Formats: sequence, structure tokens, C-alpha cells
Amino acid sequence: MEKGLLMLSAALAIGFSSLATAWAQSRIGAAGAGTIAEKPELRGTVIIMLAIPETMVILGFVIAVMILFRG
Amino acid sequence: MIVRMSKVQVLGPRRLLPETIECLHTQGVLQLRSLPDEPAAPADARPAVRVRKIPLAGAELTQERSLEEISRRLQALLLVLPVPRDTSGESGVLPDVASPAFASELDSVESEIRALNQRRLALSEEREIVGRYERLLTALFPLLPALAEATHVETVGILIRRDRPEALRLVEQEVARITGGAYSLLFREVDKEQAGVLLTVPREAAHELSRLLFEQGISEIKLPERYSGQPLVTTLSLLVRRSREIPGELRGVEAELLAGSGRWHEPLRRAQRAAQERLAKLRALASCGETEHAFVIWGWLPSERCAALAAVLEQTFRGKVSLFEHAIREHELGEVPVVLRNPALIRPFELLLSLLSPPRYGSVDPTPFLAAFFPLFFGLMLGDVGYGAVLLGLALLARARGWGGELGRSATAVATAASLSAIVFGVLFGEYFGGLGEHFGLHPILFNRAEAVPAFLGLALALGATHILLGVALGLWSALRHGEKEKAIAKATTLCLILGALVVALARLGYVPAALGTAALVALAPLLVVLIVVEGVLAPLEVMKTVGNVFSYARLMALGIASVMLAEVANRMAGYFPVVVGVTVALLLHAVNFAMGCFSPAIQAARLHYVEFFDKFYEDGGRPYEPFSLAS
Repeated sequence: MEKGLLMLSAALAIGFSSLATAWAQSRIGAAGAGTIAEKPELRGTVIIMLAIPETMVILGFVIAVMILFRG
Repeated sequence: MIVRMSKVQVLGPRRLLPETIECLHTQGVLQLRSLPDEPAAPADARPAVRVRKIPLAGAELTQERSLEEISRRLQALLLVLPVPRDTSGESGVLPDVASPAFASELDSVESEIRALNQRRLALSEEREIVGRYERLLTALFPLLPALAEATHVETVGILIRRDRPEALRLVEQEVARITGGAYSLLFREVDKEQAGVLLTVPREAAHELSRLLFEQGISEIKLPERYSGQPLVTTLSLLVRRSREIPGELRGVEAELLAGSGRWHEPLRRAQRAAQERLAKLRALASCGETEHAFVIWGWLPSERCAALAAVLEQTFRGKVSLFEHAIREHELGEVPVVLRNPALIRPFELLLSLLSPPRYGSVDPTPFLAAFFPLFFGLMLGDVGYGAVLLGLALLARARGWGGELGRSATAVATAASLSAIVFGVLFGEYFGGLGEHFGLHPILFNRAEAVPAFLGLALALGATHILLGVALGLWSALRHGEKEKAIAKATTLCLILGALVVALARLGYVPAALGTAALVALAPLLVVLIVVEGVLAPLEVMKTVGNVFSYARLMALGIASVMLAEVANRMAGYFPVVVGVTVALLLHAVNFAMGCFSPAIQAARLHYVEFFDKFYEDGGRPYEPFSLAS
């Protein structure tokens, strides 16, 4: 039971952070596509901006790893 | 590093200004600076010599406008002309760009090229229109001979949807009613969705038929305007004929344009360059200052070039024109152009800085740190001998072929460093296209990334902490250099706080004695107080953000594990299918993993620098160095 709860917690940690990242990237991606259409020279900056919300899922992943390995 | 720049003033007699500008233009090292705003002199000060800007007036102003217009026209013409394939033919001759004869010669060349270009555009447009009607024409053309002889009737084409056969029946009933049965209807499928119908009715019934089609919402075939005014049958025949003629005509016009380009492209390009150079000199004149008898030119140049330029001016003008170096004031730092100069091995990494605005003059050039950490992070994420070797091979191939010019050379140098790092980490992790290395005696030296997740996380966070601490230390050094005491205290305190937090964390994990951890914890409180006093109540939040930045480096571990897992999936797939299919699937998956494994680590490694590392010390807003030269 306890192991199951730990697994569920790890899944929730990474699942919700993935959803948050996906939502943020969808917004940034849409704005970025518009930006590149008008100013193609900003392509590199847009790609970097798109990578910024990945911190959330990375932190979610770290929490999940900590739950699984230290639980 | 950022090259030391000098603020200089070139002084000489007013009559020597044009020659001095010419000389500076040829030397091409001085970046001109507009007349700086001097602070107002105190009321009791001795009357100073007044320096005023040299306004362009009369003939110079007219010449500037004329050159701008000529430059614009030349630019437009060069955009229209295709790049000539063969330049060995006879080249056209244009007079000097500033001479009155040039304008008339340009008129003649321009009208010739524009006429050809307009013809090409018209033919391309016509080809597009005819292409749009091609399916319809193919479907209806066989029906036309039956109608060609009729002169007292009107032919109307309509398009109807094939999934609405009742529409055709309805139209036919109505047409029969309008014409009293005197009509003909020819039907042909155009594509899967539409069918073309040719309705022939007496001329007097044509108007009512059009109204009926409009009311029923049935689309009548609208032919291009240029073909209008003729019976549909004639127009459709004409369209078919034109669809066969246009490609040949277009090839002819393009060949003429290419021949014109062979003759005029190079002279026009030279003329545009000459116009740009003359404009640059005129504008340089406008950025100079003058007194009753002397001229003054302000500018920036690398300090190491000062002596050489001074010597050239001295020699050319026999001591009548001199160069003086002045100290750069603190408020002028944002104005100073920036030149980066790094050793050959590090220089390619300046490419990664090009996504941001250059560092401000007087700040830290982060290129050496990018050169050290970017390949390290990339290698840690990709960490595979096989993938690294493929990337190295591609980078060397691109370099040998000279793909992408100068930019490509820098990119391949960065890729070479990153791939070598991936190979080294591949050896340390014992990975060769995932776990295939085991078959060749390759075993993990450091740890197995797929299994030792906590160890990998620890390594990633340790690297992150080192990177962030280095960033804060650079910020501290920069603040000390500029004499910003409060900022320096804040940076030093932040540095101590992070180090203290690290010691506490290590003590909790048992890597350092518990007593040391307790001592560090006790020291954190006064440090926080100092930080709040210096930076305000929000300063602790900034420290929390910095600590959070360290956790962001966990992505090194996350992407590394994703890479090794995908490689393992590819290898296992081979066992689930027959040999040929399995190997093909495995190769495809490895190819996908390689593409992702190159793209994602590059983005993430760059991002760790731009967002986490640079935030601690990087001062952007530097101006690029653009000397007044023949190339400008």
C-alpha cells in the first residue's frame, strides 16, 4: 500500500509538472511562431525561451526521483 | 576577453577635413562618434572655443539625397537580377556614380531590366492562373468542339459538388423552364469532389440563367479578367493554348534576364558599393565638429591601434593633423563599442553569444566560460561513444566541405568540442549506442547512468552549484572592478550564503562533519541580515532563486537518462522482430535518438548559460564595433 502511494506521488509530481510545462510551452510556442514569422532573426532566442518552462518538469522529475529512491 | 578601447579626438585645420576623412576611411579602424554633449560651462569660466556640428548644406545635401536615391534604385535592381552563372562574357560599363551621366545610364539599364522582370512576373502570374484551371480544362476541353460552331447561343460553365446530384437535376429543370427546352447540358467530372457542367442556352436566356445560378448559390466558373469579354468556348480554348505556350515564353524571358544579369550585375554591384562609400563619407562629415579654423573628429578605436593611426596622420599631414587619446568616463561606458578577442580554440564559442546582445564594455566576456562548460554539459547529457563519434564525423565532414562559410566553421568547431566531450563521457559511463558497448568490453568507469540515478543527480547538482558559484564570483569581481561597493557586498554575501547552504546540505547527507554543518547554519542568519540591510527585504528571495537555479541543472541528469533509455529501447527493439526488420527499426530509433540527443542537449546547455549562469554577472547592451572603412 505504502509503495503504491509512493509510486502515485512520484507519478503526480512528474505528471502535473509536465502538464504545467506543456501549457507554458504551448503559449510560448504560439507567440514564438508569430515572432519568427515577423522577425526570423529571433529564431535562436525563441528556441531558448521555449526551453525555459522545462525547469518545471525537471524539478518535478527530481522530486519524483527523490520520492522513489529515498522513499 | 574584451579588447581595451580608446576614446580619441582627431584635430586639424578646417581645410584638411576632406583629406583627413579620406585617410581615416582608408585606414578603417576608427568608429566615428557624433559630437558629444558637453556639460554647460560655469558662468564665471573663460569663454571657451565653441565647437559646432558641420551641417550638410547646398551641394553636399543635394549629393546625399541623390546618392540615397541611386543606392535605393541599385539595391532594388540587384534584388531583381538573378546571380549570373557565367561572368566571363562582356560586362557593361557605368560612369562614375556621382556624375550626372550615371543617372541617365541607370535609367536605361533600369527600364531594360524592369521590362524583362515585369514580363516574367506577368507570365508567372498567367501560368499560375492557367494552372488553377488546368483540371477543369482537361475535363471540359473534349466537350468544346460540339459547341464551337454555335454563335447565337451563350455557354455558361458551372461547378457543382458531386455529393449533391439533386442540385444538377434542379438546375436542369429550371433551365428547361427558362429556355422552353432549348438548351444543351454537358457534364464531366473534374475531381473527386467537383463536376464541371457546360450549359448552352439561347443568348436572350443567358441573363436569367446567371440570376438563377446566383440565387441557387451555384458557382459559375469565373475566368481571369484578361480572358473576359469573349465567349466561354473561345476563352477555354485560349487557356489551353496558353498553358502550352507559357513555359517556353517564360524560359525565354528568364534567359534574357540572366544574360542581362551577366552584363549588368557586377557593374551595378560596384556602383552600389561606390554610392554607399560616398554616402558614408558624407555622413562622416556630418558627425564632425568645427571651429573658426579647425575641425574635430571624435571616435573609438582599439587602444593598440592608436599609435599606428597617430603615426599615419602625422606622416600624411606632416604634423598638421593630430590624434589625442582621452580617458573614458564612467557614464560613457555604454557608448564604447565592443571587440571580443579570444584564443583560436575559444573563439568559435563567440557564436553562442551572438544570440544575445554583446557584453557591455568594461564587463566580463563570458566566452572562455562558455568554451569550458558548454561541451562539458553537452557531453554529460549525450554521453555516448557511438553518438559522439557520429557527431564528430559529421562535424569534421561539414568543416572539410566548408558548409555554412565562416558561421559553419564556428558551428563545426563547437560541435567538434561537444562531440569529443560526449565520447569522453561515453567512455566514463560505458555507453556505445546504449548498452552495446558491453559486447566490446566497454564497462562503466564512473557509474551506469541508467541505474545510478542518485549519483548522476548528485553529479549534475554539483556541477550546477560550481557553475552558479562561479557566476556569482564573476559578478562580485565585476562589481569590485567598477567600484560598486553595495553590489559587491551583496554578491559576496550571496556567495557565502550559497556556500553555507551547500555545507549544511552536505552535512545532512553525511559527506562533511555534522559540527561543520551546524556552524554553517549558524552563520547563515547574520549573513541574511547583512543581505537584507544592503539589498532590501526582497534580497532573500533572490538567494532562493539562486539556490533554485542550482536545481535547474538536474536537467543534465534528466536528459542523460532519457538519452540512454531511448538507446536501450532501440537496442531491445531489434530482438522483438525478425533480424532485418529489427535492425532497421533499431537503426531508425537510434537515428531519432541521435537527432534528439544532439538538438536537445545543445539547447539545454545554452539555456543553462543564458538563464542561470549569465544572470549572475552578464551585462548586455554592448555596441558592436563598426569602424569607418571601405567595407562599412
